[in-house]
Amino acid sequence: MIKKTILVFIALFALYNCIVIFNPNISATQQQWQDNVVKAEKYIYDKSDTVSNVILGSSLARRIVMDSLPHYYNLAFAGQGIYDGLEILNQTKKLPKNIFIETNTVFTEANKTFTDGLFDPLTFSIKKYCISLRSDKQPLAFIYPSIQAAMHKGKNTEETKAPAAGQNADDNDFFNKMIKMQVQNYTWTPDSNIVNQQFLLLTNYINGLKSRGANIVFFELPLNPKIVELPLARLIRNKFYEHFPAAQNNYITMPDCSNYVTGDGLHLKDDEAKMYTSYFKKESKKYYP
Amino acid sequence: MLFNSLVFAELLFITFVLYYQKWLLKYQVLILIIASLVFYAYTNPALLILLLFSAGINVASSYYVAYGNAANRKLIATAGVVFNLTVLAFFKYSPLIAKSLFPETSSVGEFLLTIPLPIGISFYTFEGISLLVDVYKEKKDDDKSLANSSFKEHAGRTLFFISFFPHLVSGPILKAHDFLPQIKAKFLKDINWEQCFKNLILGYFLKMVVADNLKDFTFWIAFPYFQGYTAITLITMLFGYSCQIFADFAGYSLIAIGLAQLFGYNLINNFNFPYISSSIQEFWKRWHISLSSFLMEYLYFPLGGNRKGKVRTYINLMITMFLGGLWHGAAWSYAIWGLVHGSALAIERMFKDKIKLGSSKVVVFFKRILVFCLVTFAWLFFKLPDFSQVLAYLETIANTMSLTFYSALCFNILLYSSPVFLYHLFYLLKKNKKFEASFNKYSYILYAIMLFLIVTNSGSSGSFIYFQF
Repeated sequence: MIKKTILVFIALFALYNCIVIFNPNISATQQQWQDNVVKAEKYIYDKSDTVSNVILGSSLARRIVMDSLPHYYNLAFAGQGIYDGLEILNQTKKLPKNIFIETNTVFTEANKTFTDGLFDPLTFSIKKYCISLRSDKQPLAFIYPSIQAAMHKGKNTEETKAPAAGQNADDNDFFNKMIKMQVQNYTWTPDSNIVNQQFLLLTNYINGLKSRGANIVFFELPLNPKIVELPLARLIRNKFYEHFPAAQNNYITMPDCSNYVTGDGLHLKDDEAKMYTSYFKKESKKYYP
Repeated sequence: MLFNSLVFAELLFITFVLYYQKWLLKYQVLILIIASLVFYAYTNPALLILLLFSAGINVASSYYVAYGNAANRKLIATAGVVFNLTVLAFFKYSPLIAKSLFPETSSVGEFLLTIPLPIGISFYTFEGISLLVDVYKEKKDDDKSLANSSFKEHAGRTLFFISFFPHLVSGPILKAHDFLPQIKAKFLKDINWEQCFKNLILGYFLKMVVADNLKDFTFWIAFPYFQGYTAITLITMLFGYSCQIFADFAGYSLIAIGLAQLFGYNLINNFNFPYISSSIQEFWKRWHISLSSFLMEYLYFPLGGNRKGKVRTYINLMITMFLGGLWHGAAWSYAIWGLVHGSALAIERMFKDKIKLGSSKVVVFFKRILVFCLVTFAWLFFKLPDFSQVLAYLETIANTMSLTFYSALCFNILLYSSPVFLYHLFYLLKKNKKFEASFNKYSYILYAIMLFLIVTNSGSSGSFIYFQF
């Protein structure tokens, strides 16, 4: 029984490898975590040698519309913070020329499970050469898009994974609850020791990247006007200017927040994301045309 | 250390190779003890101190119960049980005591909140209790003892019983009278490879493909995200969580059983297709069997069981399930979860003889659906340990009744839950001899598909849900 099982497994695996090798562009994700891993793997295995502009951030910067920024790669991860992107850059050989770092969510700690998984010595090497084992090639992930494609006569629709936080916040009641909660969250500020430790860590990362020749640009995404001037948002902003003075560092300043309602107080809605992307594109050209 | 990590595979390989070396045969127990301690100490070596201290007390007290002054045996056995319960209460329930009894600013409350929860404590303290009770009972009953007359030998066997790595951090909870008699020299030729292989493949499949993928879809049950979804999606997520928790824990147990078999030990089967249960009583005979049988043997029966009248039986059921709920975690919602099950058990017993529904296939089918729905609803207390969030979740379901739902999310939950349903369905179909014969003949194809999906379609690595207990 064991021998038969292993033989059938080998046959299945070989067949699947053939499918993937002959269709290297097939790619599907099902949920947020997988989406993050796929984004990171694509950068590590395919893009890190060629991309010259990288955006680092959280689910806030993930909303930036990348179709408008063809020479950029977005390493902003939903549900995570900037440190995961920084760690990926730290562990890849070649650095992008310009690194754009979101400043909104500096207190979200690094997700060790995420980066350890990406750079695990064994799986890293296997995935490098065996693309069928990469996260965007999971066989079950293709079932839903295939059914959808069949139902829509070949047109694949967008909704293939769970919506990210705030993405579908059309409901007024939900919006109000979220705003109330975010106001509460942003009224609180962390202990000064934690703040200093976090900025020390960030400074080390930034100095490391600068010493390897990368240009750093900080940017702050707009928040709902009710939140943008609350203590936590102000504390983070002030600390950035304190540790990375504007005279010696590049900043894309936050646009006028009165134009941004957001989906949940923090995350831009689709139309707002497009508006901010245009602004970001225009401002970033000032530094690196 | 996780069962699905590379470092564990390395430890397992080294231990296995050394374990079956002929010249190391007399050190087999010692090899497994060392491997188990490395396994336990890997992420936090400091926790080893408590494990060894707890095991030490259990070694000494059980030895005294077996060979000490007869007049003090009961006292020592009781003191040992109290010690185990105190360790459990101190390390596990300090945060709950702090939050329930002390104001936020109190220094005692602050101190209690800083006490760490040692992994596996709920399991190894219960095993300590089992050892003491079993040694005491055996000594009293027929003058046989599970405790070896050599203290050194007894210490090694007890430490091995408590720390054996397959069950150390998440069970199954072993009973001394089941495990200790199995300790003897083991040989490679005695391994049932096919059974090990099946348990390991099925266990890893349930954990890595089913539970680890479902985890990222049911994530949205968390507060406040669930408030952005409509009723159908929320209900689907809850059923998905029901399958996830089964796949996670049953997967872990199967891996543990498979690993123990590699070293010649048989652990209790912890799950017996629980979601086919047609009553809550049956559910508890099929779900986390090692815990439910422990609670029945060491709590429900000593409380009087069903021997002291109807009302007392209901009270005993409620007490047992309430404490069983609290065993799972230091939050009142776990206790409420236990009470929900306790109440269901009591009501079931109350109406058992009064309402006769018959046993036709249709009736049994609807009973199974009803039990599955009730059990699934109760899992909400696991996922949302804050009771107000449970109410908010139910309120959101009630307020968003419509036909709109997130098709991708719901589809994927159903997709990854389907192996759990198929697992139970095959069990039922296997009662038909013809089906069973063909199933057994071609089961290797299923195992090959599971192996293929483990390699290509595993979810993000996550801790086992029961690690926190």
